[in-house]
Formats: sequence, C-alpha cells, structure tokens
Amino acid sequence: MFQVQRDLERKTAASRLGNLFLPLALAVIIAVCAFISPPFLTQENLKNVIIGSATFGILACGMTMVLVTGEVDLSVGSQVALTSVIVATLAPKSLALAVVAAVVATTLVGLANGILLTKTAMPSFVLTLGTMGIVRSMALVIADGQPVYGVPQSFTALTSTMVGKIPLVGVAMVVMYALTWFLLRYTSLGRSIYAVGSSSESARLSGISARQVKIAVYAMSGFLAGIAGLFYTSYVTLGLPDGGVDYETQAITAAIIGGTSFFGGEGEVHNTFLGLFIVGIVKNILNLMGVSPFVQPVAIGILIITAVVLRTRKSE
Amino acid sequence: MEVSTDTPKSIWSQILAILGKNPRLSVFLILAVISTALSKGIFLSPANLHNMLRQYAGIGIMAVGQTFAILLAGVDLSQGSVVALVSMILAYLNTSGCGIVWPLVVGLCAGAACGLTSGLIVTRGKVPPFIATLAMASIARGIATLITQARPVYGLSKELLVLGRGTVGGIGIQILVWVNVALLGVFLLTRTVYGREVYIVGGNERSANLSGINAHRVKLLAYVLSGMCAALAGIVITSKLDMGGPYISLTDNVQSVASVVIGGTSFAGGRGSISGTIVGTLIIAMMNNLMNLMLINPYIQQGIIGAIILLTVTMNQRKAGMR
Repeated sequence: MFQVQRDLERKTAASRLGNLFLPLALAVIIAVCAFISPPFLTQENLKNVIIGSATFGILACGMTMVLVTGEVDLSVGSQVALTSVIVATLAPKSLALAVVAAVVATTLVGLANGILLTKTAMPSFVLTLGTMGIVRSMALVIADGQPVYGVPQSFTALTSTMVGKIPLVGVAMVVMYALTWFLLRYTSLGRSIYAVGSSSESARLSGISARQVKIAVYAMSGFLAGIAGLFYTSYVTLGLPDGGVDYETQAITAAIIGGTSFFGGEGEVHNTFLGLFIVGIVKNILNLMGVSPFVQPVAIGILIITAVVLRTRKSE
Repeated sequence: MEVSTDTPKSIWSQILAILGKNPRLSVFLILAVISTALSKGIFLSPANLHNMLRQYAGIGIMAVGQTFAILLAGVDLSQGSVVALVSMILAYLNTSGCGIVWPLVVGLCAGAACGLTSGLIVTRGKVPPFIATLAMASIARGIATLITQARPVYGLSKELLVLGRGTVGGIGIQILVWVNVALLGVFLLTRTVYGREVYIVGGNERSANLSGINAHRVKLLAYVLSGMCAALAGIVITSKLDMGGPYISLTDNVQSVASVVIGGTSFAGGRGSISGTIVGTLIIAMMNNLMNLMLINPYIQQGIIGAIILLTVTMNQRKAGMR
C-alpha cells in the first residue's frame, strides 16, 4: 500500500511539473491563431470549436479512464451510433424513455465489455474490436441500415441551446469532465484506477480488485458514450446507424495529446480536456486559413507523433 | 474383424485429437461444412471459391505483413490508409502516361516508406505502435486525398488491369500474388535467422537485446514488410476495382488484424504463424461469402466477424491455459 501510494505521489509530482507544458502550448496556439486570423476569437467561431469538439470530448473523458487502467475501448464509436438509432426509433413514443433506454443500452455494452475482459483475460484491443463490430451490427439491424427520422425538434434544438454564451453541449462536457476529475482525484475508486493501471500486481496485493475496477471503468466509458451519443443525435438530427465511425480514434487522440500514457497508470482528465482543444483549434485554424481540408489528417498525425515523442523525451 | 472395427475408431479419435489441438482449423472445417450444406453445394463450386479468394486476396496479403507486426507485440493500423495512398499513386501516375513499371515501383516504395516511417517512430521515437501507426494512418490517408483533392481516378491502362482481373492457368493473378507473399512470409519466419529473431524479440525484447539481437532493426524491418504488403494489396485492389480511390479500404485494416488474431497469433507477441493467419483470412472470407449466398442481412456481417474474433481468441486462450 505504501509502495503504491509512494508511486502515486511520485507520479503526480512528476506530472504536476509537466502540467505546465500543455496549458502553455494551448496558450501559445491560441495567441498565434488570434494573431494570424482575426475571426478566430469571435464568439461564433469559438462556439463552433466547442460544438465540433464536444462529442469527442465526452468520449475522451471515458477513454482517459480506460487508458489509465492500461486498457483501450474501441467500441465507443459504434456505441454512439447505437445511441442515435435507439433515440430516433423510440423518440416518437416517448422522448424520456428513448433517452434513458439509449444510455442504459450503452452502459450495458460497457458493462459487458468489462465483464468479458476480466473473465476471459483477452487483450482489450481484440475484445473491443469484436464488440465494436457487434454493436455496429446491432445499430444497423435496429435501423435496417437506413437513417432513422423521428428525432423531435425539441431534442435537435439541444445543440443550439445556449447557456449564457456557451452552448449547452459545452456545459454538459465541462460537467462530465468535472465529475470525472473529482472521481479520479478524490474517491477511492479513482485512486484504485491509478493503482490498477500502474501495477495490477501491487494493486492486488494492497487489496484492490482489478476486476471490479475495470468493470466499473468500462461501464462508465459506456455511460459517457451514451451521453456523447445523445448530443451527436441532436447535432445530426437523425438516427445514423453508420455514424460515429472512427470516433474512438478521435477520443484516443485527445487523451494521448493530453499526455495520457498508453501503458496505463498515467493520465489526467483535465489534460485530456486541453488535448481536445489543441486538436480542435488546430483543425479550426486550418479551416479559417483556407487550407485544403485534406491537409487536416496529415497535420493531426504529425501533432500526435510530436506530442508523444516530446513527452517520452521529457520523462527520460 | 477386430482390425476393421478398430481402425476407423482410432482414425476418428486421431482426427478429434487434431481438431482439439487446432481450434481455428475446427472452426474453419465446421464453417466449410455448414456453408456447403446451407448453400446446397453452391459454396463448393469452383466459380464461387475462386471469386471468394479473388475478393479476399488483398486482405490476405495485408494480413501476412500484419502478422510480423503483431508477432513483435505491435500492430499496424496504417495498412488500410497505405492501400489508399498506393492506389492513388498508382492510378495517378498510370493515367498521367508513366506506363506501368514506374507506377508499380513508386507505389511499392511508398508503402515501404510508410512502413519505415512507422517503424522509426516506434523504435527511435519510443511511441507505442498503436499510436504511431494510427498517426501514420491519418497522414497516409491525408496524402492520398491530397493527390487529386479526394477525387477518384479512373481510366487505368489495360496492362495494369491484368493484375486484378487476369488469370494464369485459370487462377486469378491476385490469388497467386497472395500465395507467393504467404510462402515468402512462411519462409522468412521459419527458415531464416530473421524469422527466429522475430519470435525471440516478440517473446521477450529485453532478453533478446541481452543476447545480442538488435531488436530495433528487427522491428523496423517488420513494419517495412507490413507496409510493402499493404502496397501489394493496394496494387491488386486498385487493379481489380479499375480505379484509384482515396477512400478505399476503410475497413480492411480491421479485417487484416482480425485475420491474424483469429489465426491464433498472440497479441502479447512471440506466438503465432503465417499459416494460422491464412486460415484466419479464409474464415472471414467464408463467413462473408456464406452470408452473401444465403442472402442474410448484410448488416449483421460485422457483428458475426466480431463474434468470431471473441470466440476463437477465447478458444486459443483456453488452449494456451491448459498447457
């Protein structure tokens, strides 16, 4: 227990030192963007950046927890599609029922991921690759492969609703991040998540059930995928069975640029938040500058590699 | 009398013993029998089998290269994007009047260069393979779309189409390419020093380094091989489609990884084989083929492949656990 605690203290101390890097990078990027493109700092544009990043952002929140335990969840993109199909199918009957059913469904998918992972000891990459396909098929079968119309106006208005000067989806994202941040930092589950990710063996010796922790984390990842899916549905105004493709990659990108380790034990959700906005702003400024949209993936790829290489260099 | 009742019994128990030891072979055979029965024999018709193999040759070729990456406890998520990049390079150069030799050479080199870059990022940059090849996928796809601003390129020359549509002795050329790539892979892994190094580094990188193996070099070459396999796949796929497409092979990478994993190669590295991978590709091909023949709702195909991944990997792990 002391060993785990000392490890944790050392890690948090080290990451606190490194923590200055991300806010500074983001500040520099914002300053440069504001300088080279006057429309960048307008309220309308920042609103677009927030709405454009929010769905990935909520997924990245859950992905950070999964990555910290040393696993990965590739099924969240399919879960977003499942949510959107369920909402659109059930909404004509009862919107409240539709929303609850969708989030319950993805939470159950997450729970199933966690249970299968701990029961079979399959690598999470392979397991969630499998459930990614299964969940996608579920969405396609429910919707019969077609977009589902039937999302009511009141629900599609969710995206454009403003709370003060911030879009509702941005507020929801911040709330999710705040809750996760609190959970990771101030609860025993949060500490267990780090302990399991740093070393399953020492976590086990200090009485933490890695099995329960992983099941809980996958269930939370599923729950957040459901919430992200609700906003996705509101944004696209349809049930899209082939939507959300590759969203897991975007979520992983935000977490990794935010300094989350792919090997577990390290990563903080507020840094994922910064990573998310670094990616969102880079994409946005390329758009504003009139750069071909096909340059974006190249830029993001280079950004990922640079971020990870810099981080490994620094920690050495 | 005794002999005649005894012999079939022992043959059956021998067969059962072999199947028990090879879960993926049993899955393969069971699927083949079910396919034949359900399709009333159409499955086994030469035309159907030939079509099926032609359709999956590209993924089969990718999976051979993927096996090297996964044996080294890595993964190559950039293969699908490399296929698209090579497809665009090939089609663009071919339609701009560069003949067919140069486009093929440049395409293969581009694949090798992508693999080399991934390998360097993994070994020198110490970036996890998942992240490094994910970034490479993004970059390669971006470059593929940049060549023509995402417009597909049509009108390939006839000589180039032979690769994906022609036959030699009645067998599609891309199947022959797949067979040759697979044989080369088997040869590399089982008959060369490099092959042994792949298993040693994949099993335990530290002890490999201590015994004087340059693990970085072994990994670098594996990613180059994976990139070149993707390039070859890109060539036969482009030729079969008669088009250079920036958005082709979006889901092929998953199928390539699935082939290797269903084929019993361990994600932890060090255990697995090309022959397993080939059976893995054939299982996926048969499943999809059967569902097409049976006119089963295409929407559940991804789910079925997902379920097969979960099933075979669990079976492999049970088997490994029993040892």
